[in-house]
Amino acid sequence: MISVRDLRVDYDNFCAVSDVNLEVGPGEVCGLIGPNGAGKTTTMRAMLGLIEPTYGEIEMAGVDMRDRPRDACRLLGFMPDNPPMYDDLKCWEFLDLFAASYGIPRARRRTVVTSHLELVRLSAKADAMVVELSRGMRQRLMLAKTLIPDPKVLLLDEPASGIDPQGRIDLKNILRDLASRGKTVLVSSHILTEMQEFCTSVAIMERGRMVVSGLIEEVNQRVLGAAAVFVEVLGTAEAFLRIVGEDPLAGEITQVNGLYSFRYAGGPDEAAELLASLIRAEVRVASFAPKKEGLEDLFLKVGAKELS
Amino acid sequence: MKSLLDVFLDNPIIIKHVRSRLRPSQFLPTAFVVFCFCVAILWTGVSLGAGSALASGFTLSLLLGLGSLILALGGASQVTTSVGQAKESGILDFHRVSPLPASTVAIGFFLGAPIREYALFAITIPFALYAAASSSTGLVEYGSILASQLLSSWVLHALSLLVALISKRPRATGQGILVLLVIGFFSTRGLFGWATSVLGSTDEPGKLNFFGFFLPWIAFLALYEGTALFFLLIASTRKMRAERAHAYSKPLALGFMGSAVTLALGAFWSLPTGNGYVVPSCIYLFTIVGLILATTVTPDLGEYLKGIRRALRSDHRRAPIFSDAASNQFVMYGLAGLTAMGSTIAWEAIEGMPEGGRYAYSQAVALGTFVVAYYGFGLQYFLLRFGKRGASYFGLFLFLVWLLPLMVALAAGISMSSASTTIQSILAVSPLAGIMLSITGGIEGASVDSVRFAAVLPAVSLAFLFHFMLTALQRKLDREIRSLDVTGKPKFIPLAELAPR
Repeated sequence: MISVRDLRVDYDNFCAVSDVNLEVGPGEVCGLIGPNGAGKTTTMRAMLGLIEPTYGEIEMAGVDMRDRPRDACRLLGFMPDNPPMYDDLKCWEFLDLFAASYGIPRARRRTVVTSHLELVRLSAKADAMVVELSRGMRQRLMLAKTLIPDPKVLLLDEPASGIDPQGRIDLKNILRDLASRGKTVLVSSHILTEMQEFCTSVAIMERGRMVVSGLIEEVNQRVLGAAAVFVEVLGTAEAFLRIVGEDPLAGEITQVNGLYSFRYAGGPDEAAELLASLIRAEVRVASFAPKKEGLEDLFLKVGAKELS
Repeated sequence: MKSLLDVFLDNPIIIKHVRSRLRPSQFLPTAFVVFCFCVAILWTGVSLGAGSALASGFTLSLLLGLGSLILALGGASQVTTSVGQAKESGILDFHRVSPLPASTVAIGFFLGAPIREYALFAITIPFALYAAASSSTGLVEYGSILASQLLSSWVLHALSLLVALISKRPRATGQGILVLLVIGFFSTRGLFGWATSVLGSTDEPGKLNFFGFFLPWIAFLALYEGTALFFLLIASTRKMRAERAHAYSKPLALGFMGSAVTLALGAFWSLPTGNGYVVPSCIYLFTIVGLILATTVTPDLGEYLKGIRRALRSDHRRAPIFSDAASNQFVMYGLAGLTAMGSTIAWEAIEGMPEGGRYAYSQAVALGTFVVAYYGFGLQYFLLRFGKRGASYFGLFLFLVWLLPLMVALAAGISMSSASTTIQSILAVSPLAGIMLSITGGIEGASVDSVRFAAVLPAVSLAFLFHFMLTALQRKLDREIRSLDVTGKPKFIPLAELAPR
């Protein structure tokens, strides 16, 4: 698991990250989101030990990053945006280099390299020079390199950037598979719609601070509160407005382009009961849809709050 | 033992370079060119005089030159290129976050990057062996020369490695010229010839003096270049571990200074008294080394503030004095002290000049010592006072104190066409000339006391002034950070504030 407590990082006289606390448990895929300059990359680099924090504690799978950096590094996989590579190596040589760096015995290296090339569908390119790969293929090769030491914790910075649709599907499947095997994954990305598909928790940063973090449902509930319900009513809406207005779980009703919306604090059962009441009162309901609010809504809400 | 061997035999970085730099398609054409050069040189030697020792000696020199050119020049350039590319692309960070120790990565680049040059150099060896066997040099002496070639190349490779790790945008070309100059200097046998004639034994040729013991020249070279190699690789390992780390920790800087002083004194130890150049050489050498080390151990404002914040978290007032983030104040006492100690030993134990005469060294020793001190305190003050602009302002200060007096004195000297006491006193304000002028007391006709006073006064005043200002500034910064930590701590937004109202 990842545990960050009271992290602060200063560059010269500028405080880049302050009071950051973050807990990501085993089997969790956490999305680290925030606008440019929010401190995401600095936080990740501090977690990797590439930047010495001013203070704060960082533990990776129970190993203190400051006390035992080499042990912690063994448990870590890191994949940056625009991954740098040795262009003068062949694909298998590149993976072999990092297999050796992570102490995989020479006898096992060939098998490990081959299996990871298969995992990212690059077996056919094993003997190709890295410089010949497309951007998406490079990203996949980097993912293979990241997974080679079988890390317990993965830190991924914009992992899907430049990957084709098939590659993105593969990436999602790989991340889900890793989470199901108890790995801890922290992903930083700006493509929030995609992150929503594989993230189980979220951490939102803004101006160097951790604004909110936790499981997506919990954070949604806390930050966004009741879910929004959209209802399309045909004909007169008098009965609809009366019934919904009398429901203590429903919030203020607004109407945009003939579509009514209101916040509803109840769960699925209460929502079903409300719909049944509307039908019994002969309200002509064409659609009744609680809106699934995603990371984008959450981010906009939190960002707007922070900036206001 | 196995893990130590693995650093060389199963070093992933060396293996990476073997794979990328020894691909037959790239290596074989170059190898063929070198082979042809060797054959041509040997053929020329044989044509000049088959079996003649002189011709074989000439052939050997050419082959040694070719080998040095390939290994030292080509190798150093490759180290810079390889590390520079890895640094610029960011892949060095992957090595930093891998469990591979920083020393293994540093050794990997140090030995791996010039792997093709080692292979090309190896091609010259059989030809050189043949030439050595045919000449008066002999195989044993050739073995020593080969070892010295390797040692000198390693020092240059290690220097290139460190420079590449320190530089923001490392490029091989600039260093190539530097390496070429060094090789040119060595090939003219300038330094080595001087060392052999000055430090060599008259009774036992090929041996050099170290603290009165005559060592074979290769052992002497190994001692000096081995020490240089050790400190260069230590610094490279530190920079490989963390980009923002100082090249030397404060204790290492003191160790470096101590070693430089010991090695310099060791070489000069048995020189005849009254030669007049040992003490000035030592003062200039120790001062320069002191200035370089002061630069490497001085933290900037960001590091210093980080150190205080970290210390406050653990209920301390400041960072530990030997940490990178601590002010350089304490280590400057040590560096200045070693400068004073080394120069004084050179004066008392080696040169042995009487006190009070025209060639008395007390002022020069004091000047060297205080220059090291005020440079360190001044640099630290400027960096803490002006932040990122501090280095530029300090450069301007050095220009005003070190170069401007030389320019003014030169201009005044030309216009007045005489070396008056005033002109020499202006000249002496700059330590570049001041050290020598405080020894000689100026050119004949000048007031010795005035010149010495002009040399020593600015150094002593600036050392005490910067020390005072630095101490005051540190206290001010400490107070500011402490008050910020209590009142200005960035506010954490509680989750409750974000909940809908």
